[in-house]
Order: sequence, then C-alpha cells, then structure tokens
Amino acid sequence: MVKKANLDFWLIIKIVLFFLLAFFLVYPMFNLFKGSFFDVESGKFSLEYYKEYFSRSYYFKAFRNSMTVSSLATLLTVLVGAPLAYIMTRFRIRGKRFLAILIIISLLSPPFIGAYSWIMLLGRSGVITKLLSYIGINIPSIYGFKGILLVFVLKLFPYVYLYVAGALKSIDSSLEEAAESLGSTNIRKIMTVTFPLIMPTMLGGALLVFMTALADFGTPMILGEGYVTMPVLIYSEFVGEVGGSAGFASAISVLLVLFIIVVFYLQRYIVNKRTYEMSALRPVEARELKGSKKFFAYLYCYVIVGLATIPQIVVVYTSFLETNGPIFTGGYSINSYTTVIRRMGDSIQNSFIYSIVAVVIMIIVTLFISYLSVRRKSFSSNMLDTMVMLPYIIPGTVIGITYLITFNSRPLILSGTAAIIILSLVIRRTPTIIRSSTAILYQIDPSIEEASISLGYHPAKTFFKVTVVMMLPGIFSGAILAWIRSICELSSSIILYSGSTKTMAVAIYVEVIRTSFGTAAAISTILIGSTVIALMLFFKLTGREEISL
Amino acid sequence: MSVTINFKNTIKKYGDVAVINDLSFGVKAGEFFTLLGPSGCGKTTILRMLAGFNSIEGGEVLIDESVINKTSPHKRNIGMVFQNYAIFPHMTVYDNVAFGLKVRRFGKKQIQQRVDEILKIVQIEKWKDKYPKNLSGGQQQRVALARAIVIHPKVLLMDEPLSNLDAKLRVEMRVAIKKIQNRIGITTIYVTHDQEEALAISDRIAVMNTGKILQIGTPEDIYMRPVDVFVATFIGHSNIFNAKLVVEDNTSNVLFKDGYRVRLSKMYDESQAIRVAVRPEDLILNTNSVGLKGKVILGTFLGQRINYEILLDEGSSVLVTQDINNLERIIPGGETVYLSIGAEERINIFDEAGNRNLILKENNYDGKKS
Repeated sequence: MVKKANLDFWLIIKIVLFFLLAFFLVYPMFNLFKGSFFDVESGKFSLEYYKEYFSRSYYFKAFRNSMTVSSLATLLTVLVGAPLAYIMTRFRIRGKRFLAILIIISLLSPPFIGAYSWIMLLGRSGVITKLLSYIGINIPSIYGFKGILLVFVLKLFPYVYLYVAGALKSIDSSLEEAAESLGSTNIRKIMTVTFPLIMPTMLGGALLVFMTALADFGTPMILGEGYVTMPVLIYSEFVGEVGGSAGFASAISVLLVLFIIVVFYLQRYIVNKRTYEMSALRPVEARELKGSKKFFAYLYCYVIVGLATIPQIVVVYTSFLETNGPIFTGGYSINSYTTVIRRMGDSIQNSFIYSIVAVVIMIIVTLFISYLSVRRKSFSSNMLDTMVMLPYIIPGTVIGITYLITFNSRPLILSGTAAIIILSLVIRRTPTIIRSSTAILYQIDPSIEEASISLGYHPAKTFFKVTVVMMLPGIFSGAILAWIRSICELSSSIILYSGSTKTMAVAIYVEVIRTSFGTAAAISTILIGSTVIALMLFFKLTGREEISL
Repeated sequence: MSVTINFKNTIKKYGDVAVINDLSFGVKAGEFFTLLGPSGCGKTTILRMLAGFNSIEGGEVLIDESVINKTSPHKRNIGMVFQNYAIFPHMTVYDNVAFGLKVRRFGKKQIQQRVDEILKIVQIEKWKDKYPKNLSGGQQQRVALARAIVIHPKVLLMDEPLSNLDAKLRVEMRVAIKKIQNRIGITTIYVTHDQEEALAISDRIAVMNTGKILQIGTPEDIYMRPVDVFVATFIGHSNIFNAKLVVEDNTSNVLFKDGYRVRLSKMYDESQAIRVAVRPEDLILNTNSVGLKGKVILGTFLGQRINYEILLDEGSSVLVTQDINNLERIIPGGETVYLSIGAEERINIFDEAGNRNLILKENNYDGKKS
C-alpha cells in the first residue's frame, strides 16, 4: 500500500502534533477565554469583567496609551529606518558592514536593557541629567510616554531598516535605469518606482514594529511610572498586590488579542494585494557621495546607529564599575560579576538550559510541521501550520498568564516548574523557525526523496536520512535566532518563574527594580555577550552578514 | 533474468478526473521502451504509477507475473533516474551510488566492489570522492544512472533524463545510456517529449497524447507508417494535404486540390475525402511543371540540406527538404516551383478526420504484432 505506508508514519506524527497543540495552545487559550466570562467565586457566566473594563476610564486609558505610543513609535521607526536603509544600500559609507552588525546586535539584545540604560543616562540621577543640571540645563523627564517612545524607536527601527534594506537590494538596477532612461529625475524615480516597490515590505516591517511595541512589557514597566500600557495593566492586574484578579486580567488579554488579530489580518490583506516578487540579478550599485551630501549621510548613519548602540555600551561599561547598591562609588572592578556569579549563578544556568532545551524541541516540531505543510498538503496540515503560527502575534504577557491559569490545576500542574517556562518559549518562538524551515523545504526537490524511496528506504527512514539532513543547516540559522529570542525572553517568564526557575532576563529585571544597577549590568553583559557570540555563529553558518526576520 | 512489464486496463484519477483511463500495454523482457508525447500527455504519470509514487485507481500493473499495485515504492526494486537527477547534494559520488546498497545490507567489501564496478561502467570512477556540486550536468547524470542500476533493479525508469543537458551533451549521453542498457540488458522504460531522442534510443516507442497510447512500434514503423495525423506530425515533420482518393477503372489515385494525381500501387474499395501526409524529404522540387505549383517563400541553408518553405497556389504552406547532393542551385525566394511526390509508397493516407491510416489494416498497438 503506497499511500498507507506513508500515511501510517505521518498520520501518527500529525495526530501527536494536533494533540500537543490542542493541549498546549488551544486548551490554554480557551481557558483564558472562558475565564474572562465566568466569575471566579460563583463560577457563573458573567460579563462583569468586561463591564468593569469599559466602565473605568483608568483601564481604557491603558489601551489608549498603548495605541498612542505604539503608533507613534511605528511612524517614527519608519521615518528613521527607511532613510537609513536607503543611504546604507545606495551610497558608499565607510564602516557600513560594522554599522549593519551593530544594528542587528542592538535589535537582538534584551529589549529592556534600553530602558534602564537610558535611565542611567537621562533618569533622575542619570549621568547626563546631573551633568546638564550642573551647568544649569534641565532636560525633560525620561519617564513616561517620552521615554518609552524614545526607547521603542531606537530599539525597533532596525526592523524597518532590515526589511527596507532587503527590499532595496532585491530591486534590479535595470528597473531604476529604465525609469532614468525614460527621463525621470532622481526624486521622481524614487517616488514613482523605488518607493512603490518597497512599500509592501516597509508596511510589513512597520507592522512588526507595531506588534512588538504593543506587546512589549519590560520597557513600559521600567520606564512607565504611571504611563500604563496594556501588557503592564494585564501583568499588574494579574499579580497585583491589591488583590489581583485572574478573571479581569483574562478579559483584558482577550480584548488585546482580538485587537491584534484584527490589525494583523487587515495588514496582511492590504499587503498581500500588492506584493511584488522580485529578485535582483544585478542589484543597484552603491554610489560615492560628495561634499555636504556625503557629510550629512555619514552623520545620519553614525548618529542613529550610535544612539541605538548606547544602551549596550552603557551596560557593558557600568558592569565594570565599583558599586554599592544603586551608587557608583567610582573606580573599576569586577565585583559586580563575582556577586552575580555567587548569587545568581542559578539564573544563568537556568537561562541556558531552558533556551537550549526549548530550541531543540522547536527544531523537532518545526521539522515535522514544515514537512507536513509542504509535502503533505491537506486541510489538516494547513491547520497545523496556522495554529502553530498563532502565538507569533500573541503578546508574551498574555501567554504567561494563560499558561499560569491553565497549568495551575489538574489535569497537568506545571506552575513553578522549568517545564512551564520551556513550553512557553517553545510555543512563542516556534513560529520564528517555521517560516524559514518551510522555505528551505520548498527548495528541496521532492524527487530527491523519491530517489531515496525507490532505492529502498522506507519513507520514514528517507525523512530522517535525507530530508532532515538536507534541511538542518538552514534550520540551524533560524534556530540561532530563536535561541537569542528565547534567552532574552522576559514578558512571559516574569509571570511564570518561581524562586528556583529564575532566568537571567528575570534577574536583570528584578535587579533593575531594586536599583542594583551594577549587578544588573553584569548579567546584562553576560546576556549580550551570549547573543553576540550566537550571532557571530549565525553569520558564519549562513555566510552572510545580514538576517531576515 | 530480465522481466516483462504489463499494464492491464489501468486507471489513474486525480479527484474525479481520470487522466489515464483503461490503458493497456506490455513491455518485453530486456527491451528499451520509450513513452513519447507532448508535455501533459500522461507519460510521466504512467512512469510514476510503475515506480509507486502515483496511486493506481483501477486495473493492474504487473512485473513478470506479479501484480505490484499494492507494493510500497521502497519495496519494488525499481531503479529510477529523475529529470533533475535528484542526486543527494550532501553525499559524495561514492556515497550516492552506495546509498541503495547500504539499505540492502550488503557487506562493506561487496558494496565497494559493486560501486567501483558500476562507476567504471558509467565512466565516472575519477569523480568518486567529489561532491555533486563540483560535477557537470553530464557527470551528475551518470551518477544518477549508476545509483539507479547498481542495486540491480528489475526495471530501470528514466524520466526525461537528458532534458537539462545542452544539445551536444544530450546526443553524447543518449548514446552512452543506450550502450549501458544494452550491456546490462535491463528492461527499461524511458520518458521523453523529444521525438528525435526517442527514435535514436528506443527498441520500441509508444506515442501518447491526452492520456492515451496512439501507437506502439519500432522507430522505423512509427516514422514510416504513423497511425494517424497526430503521430505523423509529432514524429518528424509531415506536410498534410487535404485531397481525394479516387477509385476508378481498377486503379486508386490520390487527387490533390489543384489536379495533381498520384497513382497508388495498393487498391482501395471506394472513393473518399482523405488527408495525405508527405515528409519534406519525399517531395521533389522541379521546374518541369510536374506536380503542385507554388512559390518559394524562404530557403534555409543548413549545411547538409536545404529547407524550403513553399506557398502552394492552392493556399497551403509546405516544407520541402533538399539534400545537398542533389542540389543544382539554391532557389531564390519568389521563384515559381513544382512539387512532385517522389515515391508513392512513402506517403501516408488518412481518413478525412485524420484518425486512421488507410494503408494499415488496423490500428493495433497491443505490442504483439511487431
């Protein structure tokens, strides 16, 4: 039985995957949904939580805050990132490769590092604040809306940069040359040819910025001081000292997720209608600039990348300062490191173990799911693929409370264990690898597998001996990115951790809240160091010095 | 030792659409059998049904006496060469060829011996330790062939194996494939859309169109006596004329539109409208006012021969080939010429619809006849 022999193996895999997804994704999400509609004490159906949300302006304000800061951040990242991408791809800039790597490093380093570095510089007792007030200048407060916006823009413009730079590189020079030979001026050419071609990609990057900003927990938590955003509201309502309510937090989460799904599909609908498949045989060559144009181009690139890199530099620098609690006592030492290793060695170990285990599981799940969705196309395979992609757009905070609500009781009690953190990482970051993995599989001709089968290898054996072996190098690069994301993860672990399962990201957050900046900087430096090493490995594996997200 | 292959009333469906319906044919032991047809005619589908990659919705497929409909593809012991070679890029030439032997649990020595032997036969022993990406298309093709035959399969299947090679290499490789097949004597089914390749390489050819086999025969048979107008025009070039078959006074004649008559040696029962197929090399150019009158549109010099496109007065355009040896001069465009039929036994006469060759007794393709 041709069909049956293949089906048996893949049918089992499919059933197992469905079961896992049902249990670790659908069931928790359903629980969240249910929890928002049923009163905790009476267990009766009620719309009380939703009523409460809409009746108090304080709660609705969080939504408005989230929207304002995320939309503005999106707009500004486009205004900053798109010109940067244009200048860096179209003109000759010395140190371009170095700048590009710095941009990627700043994108991939832990998200909340930006927030607390800027506090150290511009906060109430920040270095720059003090320096300026010494000479009589008072700068506006970094806390609240402005600070969050600043950190978001500097942290997230790399998304727009990477997307737009990728699109610009895929435009064949003949297209722009055609426009020129037809008599278009430079500006006209950019507006009528270049810009429309990169528009869909730019929108894709902008959406990613919007989603990330909307879901970000660490930055508004550290910098907000009263400027409450949705993830912060969900978190504080859930763990709140003044009687946290799981039901109410669930209701807010449901609203947030519904909103994000609408935005996501709307964007996809708009972008899909006008995406252009392009691949440049001959990309546009970078030109040499002259005079003041050259000066401003260099100034722009170096200032922007410099600003984006400041948090990393500040963190690494301060990690070597002698401290006493929040006070830098002057002089250099490695005391912060010895303290960290003595007191927080567990967290470092945890982070590495969890993220590595999570990535291994992700790779296995990804191999199976992408094979099913590419080679065994069917309604159910497609559904698997859609389901596994869903957490891509769900904020980490929501996943965190969803998991804690669900796995706090039978049939499976996982709260406080390492398993719950690992599972949440797998659920959240698998989408990062899946897309690249499916892309690779599309490039492998099915006849290679057929050749193996006709040479006598059972389809299952063929999968492991041929398909997997050929996919692995490609999957590895995706896995490294997923690993970096996992080891820096804060928003769901902050909800799921217990004393013994604290991770580095959580430890940094706790130290920052305790204003123990020296130790925070030391752990952050270890974290940044790990991601940079991973990134170098990624570059070496892919042979390129760029990433696609 | 070689096996026979038989398709009996085989059906292949995609959803509700039967792309192969009630198809039967047989391949003899040790034969080089080619499925030839335009793309989408179902030839690859048939090959993949035999290999096990396409399910079979009805009928039977037999290798020797055993029905293989339900055998898993990995248990069929069939060697397959794919259009894009399907070489494992992560293995050396040696490992590629040894791949099928390893799963058969041969000893290390035996594997080595058999791989070395086959590499010698296909002449790539020099490249043994190279990775595929360092090989040319022709060399990769030889690896694919070696990998398929080293397992001593019952049947060798080749799916357009030469279509990715350049013209010169294609000719070289088809000679190599033919020689190797001869030497091993394995029953082979070869799929191609290239009629010249099919003629050059096959013992017998099955010409296909829209899921049906129209004719099975040796290359000569099919070229000389195509069963219908489709085969006549698909295999080589045929000029098709609408004409009349006139039976009178104990003679049969073909009467062309402008009155040109050719007497046939064979007798027919009744007069009827017909279509006549004449190969370009069977039309003779003359200026003696014999035959069909027309005007030269363009002469193309091809070295060994010259092709003329000629617009006949009756309205149709025909292709005529003139051998360089019979050449007095190249006829310039615009000149009036006459075309006569060289040898009446070389033309083919079809019914008006073009579905039946009146010269052949029956359109039999069960493979027993030849």
